[in-house]
Amino acid sequence: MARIQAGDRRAEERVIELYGRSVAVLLDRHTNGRPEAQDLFQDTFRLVLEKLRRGELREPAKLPGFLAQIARSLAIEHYRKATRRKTDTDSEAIGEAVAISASPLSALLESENAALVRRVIRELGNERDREILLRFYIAEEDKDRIAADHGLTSLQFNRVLHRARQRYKELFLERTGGAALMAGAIILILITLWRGRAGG
Amino acid sequence: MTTLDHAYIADHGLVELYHQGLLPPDEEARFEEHFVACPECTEQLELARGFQRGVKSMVAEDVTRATLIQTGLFAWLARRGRLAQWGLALAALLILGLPALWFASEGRSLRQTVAVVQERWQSRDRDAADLQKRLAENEAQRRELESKLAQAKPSEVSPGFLPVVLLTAVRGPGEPAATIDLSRTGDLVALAVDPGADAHFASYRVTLTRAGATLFRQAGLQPNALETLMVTFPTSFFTPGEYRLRLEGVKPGGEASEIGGYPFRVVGKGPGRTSLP
Repeated sequence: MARIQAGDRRAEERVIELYGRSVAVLLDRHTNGRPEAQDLFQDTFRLVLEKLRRGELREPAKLPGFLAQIARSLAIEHYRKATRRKTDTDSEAIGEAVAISASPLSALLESENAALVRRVIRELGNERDREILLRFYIAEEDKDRIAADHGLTSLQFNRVLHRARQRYKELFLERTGGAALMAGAIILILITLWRGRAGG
Repeated sequence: MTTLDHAYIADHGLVELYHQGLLPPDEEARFEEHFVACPECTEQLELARGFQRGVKSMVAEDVTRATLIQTGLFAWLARRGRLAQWGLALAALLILGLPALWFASEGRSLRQTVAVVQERWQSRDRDAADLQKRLAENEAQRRELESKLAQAKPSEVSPGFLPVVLLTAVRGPGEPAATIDLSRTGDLVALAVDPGADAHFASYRVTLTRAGATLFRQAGLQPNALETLMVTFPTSFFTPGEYRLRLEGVKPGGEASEIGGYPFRVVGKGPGRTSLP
């Protein structure tokens, strides 16, 4: 906190390194994966760091909560403004979603990701687990109903998802190390952009 | 702010609930404050999000692939030469068309058969209706005839029974005479006498007596086709007793001569004596 208040840029970068992934996850969740998550990411850290520079947050332990609160508030405010501006259906979001799909990089990542998931599901060797995953992630059915249909407790159901995620993680680390590096590079680009804006 | 431990997060499946947006607002805020500082939960959330995107991409790929298979045939066909296109089109037409023609032919034949059967049924229906009509007419005629018959029967029953008692001449005292049983006769009883073939009289005359008293006399009688003289009496004219009928022949000059006397006996109980008309 003291280093940031003293204008130490390395301390600010360290804050982003520590909390960048989780804030990105939070914003991805609140924007449902839309591109404005990147703008909100920059706005969140810009606002938080400005406050830290001014010494508005004195307890370091409260920084994660402070970050989460700022990111959530910005996302909510963004959609409030977007709702007020909106005069048509969600055509803008549809256009943006199409733009993401049209990006060669995102198309490549999606294809790689799909191949990983296909392998995870194939390796499950269990029709029940396969059905659970599809119902939960594709149909987005209620977790309790799926569990009840298969006679599973909530814990057993969570284990099925956890196993799938862990295998997905193994394959992800095994086969797409390059992509992981690419994701890290994207975060670095975001940081650079933020620094550029903050400096300008 | 309440802290969250990983056991609670795992037991309640907060990772899945969060990334699906199913957590209540306050619990969502608590979980966010936790995972922003928790690399482990952040990783689980990233994996969940990545896995969901991967599943959706996989399904999208499968759908796209199925669509491409359908459109690929047409694209491949579009790249062929015009002659090849026509050839393939003709082949496809033959493959698809011949069974269609066969089915169409069969269908036409089937429709014709159905039409014939329908015509037969309609013809049978018409015949049945005609027969039904005729039957109804016959029934009506039968009822009419029965009605007429019922009306005709009473008049045919009317003649009744006319007993005829043939009287014969008695030659001696021991010879039995004719008997009329009034309980076995009807309303009338006829007395017949044979005048004999040798006598040629212009007419005949009869006289009925009982105990010497004349009860009835009738002149001008003529024999019937059986050469028999017949006189009819109401049954009620007689009462049980002995009677005698005397027959006389009248010549053309008016001279009468007795032909014979015919005694008879009346028995039984009749309706009572009445006078002759």
